[in-house]
Amino acid sequence: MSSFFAPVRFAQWRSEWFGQPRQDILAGMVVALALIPEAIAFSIIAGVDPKVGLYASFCIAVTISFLGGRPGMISAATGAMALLMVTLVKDHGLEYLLAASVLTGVIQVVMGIFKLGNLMSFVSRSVVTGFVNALAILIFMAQVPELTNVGWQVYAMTAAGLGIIYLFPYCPGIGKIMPSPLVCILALTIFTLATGLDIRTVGDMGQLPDALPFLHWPLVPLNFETLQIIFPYALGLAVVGLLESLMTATIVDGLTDTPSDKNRECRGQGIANIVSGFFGGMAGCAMIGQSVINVKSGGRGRLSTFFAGALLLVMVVFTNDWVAQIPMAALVAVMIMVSIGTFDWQSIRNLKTYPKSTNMVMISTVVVVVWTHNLALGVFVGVLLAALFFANKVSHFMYVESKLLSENQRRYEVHGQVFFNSAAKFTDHFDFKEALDRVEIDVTQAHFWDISGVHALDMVVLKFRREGADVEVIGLNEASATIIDRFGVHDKKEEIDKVLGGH
Amino acid sequence: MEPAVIQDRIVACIDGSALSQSVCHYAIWLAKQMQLPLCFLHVIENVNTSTISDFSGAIGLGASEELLEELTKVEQNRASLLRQQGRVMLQSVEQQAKAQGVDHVTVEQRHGSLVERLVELESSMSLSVIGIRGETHADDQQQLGAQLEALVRSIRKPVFVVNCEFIEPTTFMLAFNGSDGSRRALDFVAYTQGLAQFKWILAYADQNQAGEQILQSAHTRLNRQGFAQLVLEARQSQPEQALLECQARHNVDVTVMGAYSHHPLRGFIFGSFTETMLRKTNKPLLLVH
Repeated sequence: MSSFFAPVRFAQWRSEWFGQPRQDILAGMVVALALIPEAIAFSIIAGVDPKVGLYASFCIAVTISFLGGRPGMISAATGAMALLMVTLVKDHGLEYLLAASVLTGVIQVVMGIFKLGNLMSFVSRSVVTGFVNALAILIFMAQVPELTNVGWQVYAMTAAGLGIIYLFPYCPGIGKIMPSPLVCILALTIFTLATGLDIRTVGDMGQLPDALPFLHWPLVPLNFETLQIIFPYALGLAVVGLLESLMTATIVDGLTDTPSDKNRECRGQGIANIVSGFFGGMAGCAMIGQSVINVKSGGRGRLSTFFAGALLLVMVVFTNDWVAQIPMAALVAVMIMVSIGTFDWQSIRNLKTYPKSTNMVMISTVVVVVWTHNLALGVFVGVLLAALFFANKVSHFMYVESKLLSENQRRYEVHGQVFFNSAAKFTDHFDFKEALDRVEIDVTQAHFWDISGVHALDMVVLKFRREGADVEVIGLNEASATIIDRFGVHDKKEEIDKVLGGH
Repeated sequence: MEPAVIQDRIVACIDGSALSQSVCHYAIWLAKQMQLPLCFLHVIENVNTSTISDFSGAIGLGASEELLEELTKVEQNRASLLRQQGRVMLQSVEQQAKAQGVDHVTVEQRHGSLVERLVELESSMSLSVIGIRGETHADDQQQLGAQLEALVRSIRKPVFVVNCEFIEPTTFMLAFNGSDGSRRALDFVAYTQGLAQFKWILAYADQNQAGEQILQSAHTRLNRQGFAQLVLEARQSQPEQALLECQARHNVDVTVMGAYSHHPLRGFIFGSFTETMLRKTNKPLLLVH
């Protein structure tokens, strides 16, 4: 209690909410307008009624505006999450999805409490880039069904929509004060209604919200079998949700040059998903594209996120008859914009200049995600590859010098890092065929990082003994000081010198 | 560096507002009276508000990178301008302080938040001097500065609040009602070097009880510390009103009083006394925690 009311916190709370109310409300409006088509589109990807995504976006945005750790970031129903739900919805139905959303939230809260947000440091830059690019590709691919087996009118409308979105901002005067995706939607809807064109509209895709969401316990049997069904989905959703949220938070941190509380964000995302699940919404997370739009429109505070969520629901509930008339072509145009805006185009140019291993990590992440439609798997592969490449790089930092001390005596001096990946290389440096009386192995300049390294040394000693030589190992104590798994952090010069240098 | 430069200095907070010059004068005067080193602090606040407005809501190729570049450029211009302005101000006040004979003068320019920086400096400062309102509320004569309340509530060292042009202080008033806060104010006055030579009004005001005896204890205390010119004023009336009257009658230059309670909830309820005094007096206040 006391920490909440503490004066500095109060001042911070006030500035986070009301630091710039006018800009935040305007930005919130722009975001709300952009969220509506996205929430509908992502519901369609997940295979549920548009109202599920719209309720989710409302619940998540409003909850996270209070509980999130990154003011100015927009969270709602997202494509990354929707893609993971497809089979759950198809096989078991909406109620299981709601239960999975709640469970996702619970897992995320636990992850937040255990400060797993700190694990983000293992996700390298190339994995983040791969994630973002894969997400963009998946959002684009999700639009393809809307563009296959349809008349030329749909293509023409989509193209016109994209034209409006990208060219309208250059209109002098009104270009910068009206959101161009909204102009696109309005123009295409009016056109469709005026010409009576028979093309698919949002109304054809399922039910829209006609009332405020109400508290609703997911209608699933509370037994082990249910848990078995939803847990794998919830775990994937929790991981992907936190990954995308924390990546987005990092992007917003950079854009606004302000810090954020990552573990608080994890807990906030969790509670937002629990709330969403209980109010008939799907699980969601932070949105890269929307957060960029928010910052670009001038949003910085919690108020813009709150306002975006609240306005979204109010607009949809009161205008659902009109929203139902929006042609799918307009939605597709908006989603193509989102996918283009999400993709990291710089990364394509960087392919030429970056090291091969970095590119491989990025491309593998993309390929695995696009192949499995599971962003968590892609990130897992990316992180694993990055770690392997790193281990490989470090293993190059090892060499063994040897000199003949007398006719029957040789001294080996080992320099550098000996661990699982360099152990075999380490062994190869010794010539066991040479007939010697005495062998000295000086490991003072080496570091043994794990048991594999020590084992390799033991085997070398044994082999020399088998050949009948006397073996002496010098400086092993210092060299093996790095093996011990210490939970402490060696961030002081003397401590690092003790373990790594100076011997 | 001598320890004296780090320990127990006076920190004067300078920004571009109209009161900065006066803050500087009061800080110099205090540093000379109290024989303390003086540090002028200019904090370039990170305003977390947007400066560009683009409601097009469209994100195209490399939207995020483009936006980052644009925001960086805007903020770079703003920050370097503020930094230069601040440096000029700091140089000028440093020269003034040196010219007026303050021995140890340092200047410090930081990015971030003023309140946070002062909290960091708290252990090495004996007093901070700040204008009642900064640049943001410069035009609004009624409003207290955006930072002031947070600052007074956050730091546990006395705050000298400047609200007028500099007038060399000769008459001081100590508002004393026997509460913990006012006892700390009394301690501060008694133990601070260089204050005994001035005329001091010891003022008591309470609607419910007479305070001659309470004042007498303070009087004895200060007398023992060498305060020679002491005037006692006890009123049985509404505190704010009585104190303001007393200020006017004796031509008080600086009022010393206990500040907002640090207890968070009590502060919301009882803190209003400090706030009223801050709003209504037109001479500097020294708030002691």
